[in-house]
Amino acid sequence: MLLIYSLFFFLSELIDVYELIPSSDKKIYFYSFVTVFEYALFSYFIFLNVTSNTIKRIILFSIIGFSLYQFIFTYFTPNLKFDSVSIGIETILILFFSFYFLYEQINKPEIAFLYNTYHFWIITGFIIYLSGSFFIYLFAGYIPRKDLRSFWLIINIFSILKNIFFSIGILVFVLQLESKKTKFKRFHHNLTRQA
Amino acid sequence: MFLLQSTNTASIQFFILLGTLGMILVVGCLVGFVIFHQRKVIRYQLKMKAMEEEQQRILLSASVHSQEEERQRIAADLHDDAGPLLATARLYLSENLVNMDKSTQLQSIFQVRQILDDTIQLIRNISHSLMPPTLKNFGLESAVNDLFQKISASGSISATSRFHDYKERMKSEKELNIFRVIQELVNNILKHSNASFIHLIQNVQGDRFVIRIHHDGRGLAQADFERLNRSTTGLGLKNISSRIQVANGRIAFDKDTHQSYYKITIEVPVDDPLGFLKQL
Repeated sequence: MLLIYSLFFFLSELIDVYELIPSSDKKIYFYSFVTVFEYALFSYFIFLNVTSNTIKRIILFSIIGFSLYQFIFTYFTPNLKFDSVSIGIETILILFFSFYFLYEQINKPEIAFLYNTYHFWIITGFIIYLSGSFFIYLFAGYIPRKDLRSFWLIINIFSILKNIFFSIGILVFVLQLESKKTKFKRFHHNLTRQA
Repeated sequence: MFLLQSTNTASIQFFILLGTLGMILVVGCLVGFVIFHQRKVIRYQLKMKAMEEEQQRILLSASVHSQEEERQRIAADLHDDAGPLLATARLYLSENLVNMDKSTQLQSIFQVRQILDDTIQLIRNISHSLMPPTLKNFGLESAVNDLFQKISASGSISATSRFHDYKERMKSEKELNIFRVIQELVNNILKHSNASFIHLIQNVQGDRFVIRIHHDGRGLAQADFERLNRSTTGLGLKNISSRIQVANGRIAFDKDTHQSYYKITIEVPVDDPLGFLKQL
């Protein structure tokens, strides 16, 4: 899932930087799609990892609701340059779900250290990136384009931080997988020796 | 939004920077709080686990200690009482007995028989103290009633017991554990409380076998029991804890609702006749 997100994010950056969509009318549809896709992937990750059925249901309905809202908002708002409001809603919802997830994790007695789980690093990546870029995206429509470039540097920094956190998450996941495989091999080896 | 449109770009930029910093600060604090809270919880859990292990260690050591004491007592009884008795009997039955006259022989045989009767009684007493025969043959109700009748017969204290719901006997180990707990508690009441009466009631509440002991002397509160249980002294109380733990039960010390009598409640799960099915 992270691979899909990373590829998609990279492609969208390429499209944006090299202005592969020249028409500003079509660009807003592209931005809207990126926002919906990002929201759907982030919230789906949380959906897979929370245990509360109520929150799972809220996440599912929010994905559908958010997609519909984004479509209506983009289609019916004239001269829209940037989907600031949608990004604001996306950030608030993802932050809420992320903190709920962390709350659930600290209440689980079987989890010894939160930062030994890959979920923690991925979720922290979401939180850092979304909270760091929240105000910039929210007011992007009110800043002249030349000034906006300097703010984009901040977004890039948070994007890099997000990627670092994601990488740590992947590393933790791979290490845990390796450790499980080694344990299984040892168990299998002992079993065959006993037989 | 109108306000924003009327504000100049510099203030918006300042607002964005301030907002971003504030957001990062708040989010950082929240994530930090989550991590530190979890570490605190884990540290607390580890501390609790260590305390539980320490408690288990104390109980185990108390149990070993009490076993050793019991062995020493039996060894002393056998050595100091049964040993001399049998040695005396052996003296009477010396080789010279055949050379003695008939009346002396009869007297010696009579003496030996007396000594052997005393020895049999002594061994029976030791055996009874290890496993009361009433408990073994007739169950907890009879053993407790027997114990309370003996106490009452001494005349120094009034002791009564009533079993309301004890139709089927429990497993013998469980009965013995409960009996020993009652015995220890009654001993403590006799030794330390200066009570004028002890009253025991038994009933069943749901799946719990409940025994309540009331007395009007000086008693223990739950906090006192737990404190003494954690300390290195109070072997009897540790044995009680250990036996209750083995029976998978609980014990509570408190005063009754009128605050006039001390009350000890013992609760153990009733034996499930179909329990073995669950283990399959």
